Amino acid sequence: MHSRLELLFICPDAVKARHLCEMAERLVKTQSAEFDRHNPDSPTALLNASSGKVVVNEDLFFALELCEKFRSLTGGYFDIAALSPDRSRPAYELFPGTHEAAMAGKGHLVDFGGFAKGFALESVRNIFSAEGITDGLLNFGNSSVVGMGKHPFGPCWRVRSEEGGRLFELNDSAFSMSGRSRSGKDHIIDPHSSSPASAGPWVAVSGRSALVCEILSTAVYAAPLGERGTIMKSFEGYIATYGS
Amino acid sequence: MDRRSFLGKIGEIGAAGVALSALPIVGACAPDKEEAKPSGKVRIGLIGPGSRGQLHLANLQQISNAEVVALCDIYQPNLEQGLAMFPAAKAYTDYRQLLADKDVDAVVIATPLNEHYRMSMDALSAGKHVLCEKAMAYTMDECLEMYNSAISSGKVFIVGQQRLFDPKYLKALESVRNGEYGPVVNVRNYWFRNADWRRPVPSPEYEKLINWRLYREFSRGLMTELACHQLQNGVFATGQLPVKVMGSGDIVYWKDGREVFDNVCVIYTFPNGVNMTFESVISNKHFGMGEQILCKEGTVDLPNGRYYPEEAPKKTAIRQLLGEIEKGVFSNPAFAGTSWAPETAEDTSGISIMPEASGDGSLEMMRAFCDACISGVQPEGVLKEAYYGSILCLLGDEALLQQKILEFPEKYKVD
Repeated sequence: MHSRLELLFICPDAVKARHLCEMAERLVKTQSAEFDRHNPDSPTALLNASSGKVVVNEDLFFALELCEKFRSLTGGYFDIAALSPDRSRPAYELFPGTHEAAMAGKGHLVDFGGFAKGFALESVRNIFSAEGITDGLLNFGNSSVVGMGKHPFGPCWRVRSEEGGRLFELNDSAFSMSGRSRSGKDHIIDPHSSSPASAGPWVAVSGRSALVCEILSTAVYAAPLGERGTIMKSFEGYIATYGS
Repeated sequence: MDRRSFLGKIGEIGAAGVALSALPIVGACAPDKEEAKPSGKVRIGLIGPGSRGQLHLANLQQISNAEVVALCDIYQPNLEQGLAMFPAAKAYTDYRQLLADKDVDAVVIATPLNEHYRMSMDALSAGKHVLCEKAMAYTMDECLEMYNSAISSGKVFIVGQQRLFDPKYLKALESVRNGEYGPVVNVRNYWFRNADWRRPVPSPEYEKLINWRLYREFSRGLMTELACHQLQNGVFATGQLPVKVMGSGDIVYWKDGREVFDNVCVIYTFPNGVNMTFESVISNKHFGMGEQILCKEGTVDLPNGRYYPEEAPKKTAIRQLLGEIEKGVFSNPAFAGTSWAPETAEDTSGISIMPEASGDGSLEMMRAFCDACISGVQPEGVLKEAYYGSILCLLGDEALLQQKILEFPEKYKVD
């Protein structure tokens, strides 16, 4: 995922805390390897290179299912196939009975940017919750952040954006920011035009799920101004704010 | 390149005008060069199997090309402890008898400072190779005479400045000398302890024999026992000799009849204005021991083998937050953004210069001595560095005693 995951959580048992960190690291590294389309041996790259049905592992199958669902819910503005030369959709077909996937054609490819960090954060949060961790801050690359429970000395976790000073107050919630890179480059593709979206410096979405926040921040940044409200209406409890 | 060539190379570089090149010594200490050891064994006689002497004996037990054949001490308990480590060694109570022993090729001298000159000179006259504990001698004149005698004797002569053989020191100092951390702007040395520096004495007549470090007739105190190691680093790091020295010392806390200072602060100034300090107090140990080379771009912590760049990379968001939580602060750190820029997390413990290095160089020093005795090649750069370390500590003590700013005397500069 070419980024950094930082975990801060409250756990009185140091051995357990270390164990949880190791579990999280293993999990994220595994996911990163699975979703890396640039590694020719990864499941994602093998799918992109395939010309027919291929069996995919459970994580990848689940991710492909989710992505297609969210593509539909966002009016096509969240699209892991946005980089495909071929703009026909759907870009792939899933066969639940056999856990197979098939790309729609040679002109299609999937890329899990805009999805993988949120997916990983949710996975880590689930592990931590299952292990009894109630309070913590999980930061993936400064653009996707989860606040579990609350800060030891406050009612929530507070994080401010570097630009614009937007304050996020997280209490069992998350936020995600998408937009121009720090170098000023427009890198999010509008799937409908296959061109880089250029809709201001950033969009931030906050709400319950880190994965949904990441998907929505990507989608609303890519969408025209008039479409943004429509997309957000489908996701109750999620709030988008826009940098100017 | 075999060990002989290695040691020869050290000499060539020394003669070329560089005080000492670290790299060949690092190479000589490297494990993969162990195969190139010269064959044969050196037969060693050790004079003074006290605490430091026994450490040398313990190291010699690990060195396959060394054989301890004789031990000498006028204090019977120490002699017995040494013999317990090398039961087959001959026992002497007069060092001259040990020097007359034809079975002894080389001597290790670990006696009080005031004995170093006499014993070393006698050993060289007897045709022995010598490893003499630091400081080299009680006076600068004695040091110079020993240096010249060692050179002219053709025998191996090493002074027990083990840092000169400690791979992490050599690697760090080599980087400093190469300018990798920018110009040297200051050298800080300190050694703080909180103890009276006394050893148990079985009866009063042994007081000066055992606690010789506390009395002026035997010792120059903190300067010769501690500063000697550290001052040598500054010369090594800068490649220069100080031009002047000033300082102050006194007996501040341990007013127990001792004659040497328990509190000293000395400043040495190099020709380019860079200062090197040595501070030692033995009634407060909080800061322990430190040897720091301050360069424009970073600080080298020699004992810990770590480098601290001046421009520390930015702390990560979570680390900032963690620091605030530890202070009980509920903050709102600003780190959220659209993308992540790679950065190196701040490592408050610095950067390890040579993680694989262990020990303090004493074992490597003894190994180098044994190898040199067998090969017959004197690693002269090492002697020169050690000589200047001793001269500087003695000059510093003179400045303390005279309460004057002293210039480095031309007569003590060696080629």
